[in-house]
Amino acid sequence: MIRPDTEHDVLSEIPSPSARLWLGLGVSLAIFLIFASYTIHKISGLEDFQVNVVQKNRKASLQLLRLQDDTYQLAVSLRDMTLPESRYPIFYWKGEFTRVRRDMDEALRLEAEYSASTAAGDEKRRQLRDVLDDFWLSADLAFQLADEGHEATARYMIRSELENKRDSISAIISRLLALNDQAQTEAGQQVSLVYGKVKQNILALIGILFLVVLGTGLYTLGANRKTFDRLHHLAERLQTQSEQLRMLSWNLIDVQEKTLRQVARDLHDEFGQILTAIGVTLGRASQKALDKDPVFVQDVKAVKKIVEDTLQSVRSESQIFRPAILDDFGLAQTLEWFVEQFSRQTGILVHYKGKLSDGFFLPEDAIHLYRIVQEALNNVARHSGAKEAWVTVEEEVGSLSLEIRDNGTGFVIGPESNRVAGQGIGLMGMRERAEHLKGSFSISSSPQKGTVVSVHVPLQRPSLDHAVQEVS
Amino acid sequence: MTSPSKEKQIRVLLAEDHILVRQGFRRILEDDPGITVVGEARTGLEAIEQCKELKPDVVVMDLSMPELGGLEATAEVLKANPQIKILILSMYSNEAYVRKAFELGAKGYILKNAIEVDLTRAVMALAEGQAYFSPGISHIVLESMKAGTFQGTSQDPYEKLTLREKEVLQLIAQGKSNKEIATLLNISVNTVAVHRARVMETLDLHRTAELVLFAVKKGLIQP
Repeated sequence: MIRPDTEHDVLSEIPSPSARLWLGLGVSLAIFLIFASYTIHKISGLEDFQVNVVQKNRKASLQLLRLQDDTYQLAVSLRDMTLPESRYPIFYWKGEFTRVRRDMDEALRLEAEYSASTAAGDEKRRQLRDVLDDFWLSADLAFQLADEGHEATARYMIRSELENKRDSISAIISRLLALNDQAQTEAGQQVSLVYGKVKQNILALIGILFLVVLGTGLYTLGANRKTFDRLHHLAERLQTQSEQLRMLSWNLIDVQEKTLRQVARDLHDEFGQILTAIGVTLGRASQKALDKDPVFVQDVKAVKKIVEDTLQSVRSESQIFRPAILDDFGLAQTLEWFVEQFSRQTGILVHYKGKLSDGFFLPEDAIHLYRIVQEALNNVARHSGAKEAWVTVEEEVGSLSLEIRDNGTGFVIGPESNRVAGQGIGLMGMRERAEHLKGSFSISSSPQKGTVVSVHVPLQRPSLDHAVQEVS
Repeated sequence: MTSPSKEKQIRVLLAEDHILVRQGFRRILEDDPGITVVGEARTGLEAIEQCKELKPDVVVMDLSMPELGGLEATAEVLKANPQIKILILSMYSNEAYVRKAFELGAKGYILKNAIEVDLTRAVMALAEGQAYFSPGISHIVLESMKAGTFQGTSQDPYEKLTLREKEVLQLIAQGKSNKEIATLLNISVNTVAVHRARVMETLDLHRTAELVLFAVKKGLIQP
């Protein structure tokens, strides 16, 4: 038998790569998660930056352009107001100035709202507000002078003060625009800097992940190779062991047959003959004393009966161990005899159909086929509960087929590995015997459908070429 | 033992391998003044030899003897001396043994367990030209006759051969020498020679090549 311990030892020699593979997977996932969250954080920061800084900066610039536009309109109006050939009254522009002032106030408010607060920007913005306030004060004064009829003074004031102040306003706005533009450029640089960093991070992530995966993969390959090497080794050992097991089991069968044969012969030839001789002598003694001593004759007859009974049981024992008919008449007659005897003893009706010429199996081989039938029929009697059984022996081309079928309860055939030690030894023996004759053995059974044991064995007939060669 | 007429005494040869049994038989037989045991044989071969020399009226032949068995010896004895009556002694009442014994020309068949009653009677019956069966086997003979399977002469000469002879035929057809066959079957070369002669006689074939052809026709070897 294979000791289960041995298998366990061999199995435990195979290291499991699982722990290290899990570790590799865990590290890979952790790295991935850390990088992913870091990158997402970076990108969302960039998004905020773009929304808060760049977009606002752009809006502020738009408002500055609006202001610039307004100052240009003011410039046009101031020029028209002071042209010598246009002599429209000054109040004529009052509505225009009011509208531009409102627009500029609005633009200034929005610009202050959007613009990012920088020292330079704030200073300029304060200047702008001051100059604008100054400008509108002067403008109001100019319109008041004009309303009071001092057109010439008003025009002089416009030319001498308002135009200068407007120029200052335009210059400050231009400066603010330049500052905004510079901020925009800086923001763009910052954005591309962040993108570059993110790109770098992603590259690093891919690189590290690649290395980790490569390491894990190489480790897996190595571990697999070791595992397969050990499995191969294990399979070889199992094969050797099963080979040895088969040899051992065959030896058991062989020794059993030889022993049984010897015991049967000894029983029959020695004890059988001695008992026969005793019986013969006793018989003769009782014949001789027949008329002289009736009591003695009675005793002798009683002893003779004992001897006969003993002889009878010695004979049937020796037949069970090894039927002499197999050696004297061959397989077909032996099977016929056995089946008939079996039917009589068990009450199971066995139908025997045999088409077989004798002489193809030497008794040493035929005994195995006989034992298979014996074992199969004994199983029928012991386990199946069958009322009828069929034993069929047929010669086919080059082979002999042997089938033992019953109409009993059948059973579920489990895989051999699932059997407890000791179970299925009979089946194993039958298989072993069939395989010894270079044949095949199969059993099929299912609950309520009975059991079929079938054996195919090649007929050992030498070829004529071989024979003729040896004759000539 | 004084016998009234020595010419009428039945001359018996005992062929039985076990000495105690043989002695028992001898005593039983010699209790009858009409019977005299002229010789003893321990094997089939010895029985054949003794028959040639002694020409007994009846041979009491044990079925299972070492070397050549009782069945083969029966056939061989009858080939040379068909007038000799052969009484088979056996432990077995199997139909196969009974049938084969009669096929080969035995005239009586008795079981060893009732010998002291049957033996003398059977020898007398055979000497007078009658057949004799033990009560234990007569029903087998009757049933076989009823079923038509009990035929003294089979149509197929091959079926007249004993299993041993069939084995020898097969081995001859395979080109094995007598010596090789003797080793394979664990018997002596002389015994093989007897088997070979019996096979050729029974099949009416007299050369090895003919035996090979016969074996091919029978399917004993593959063409």
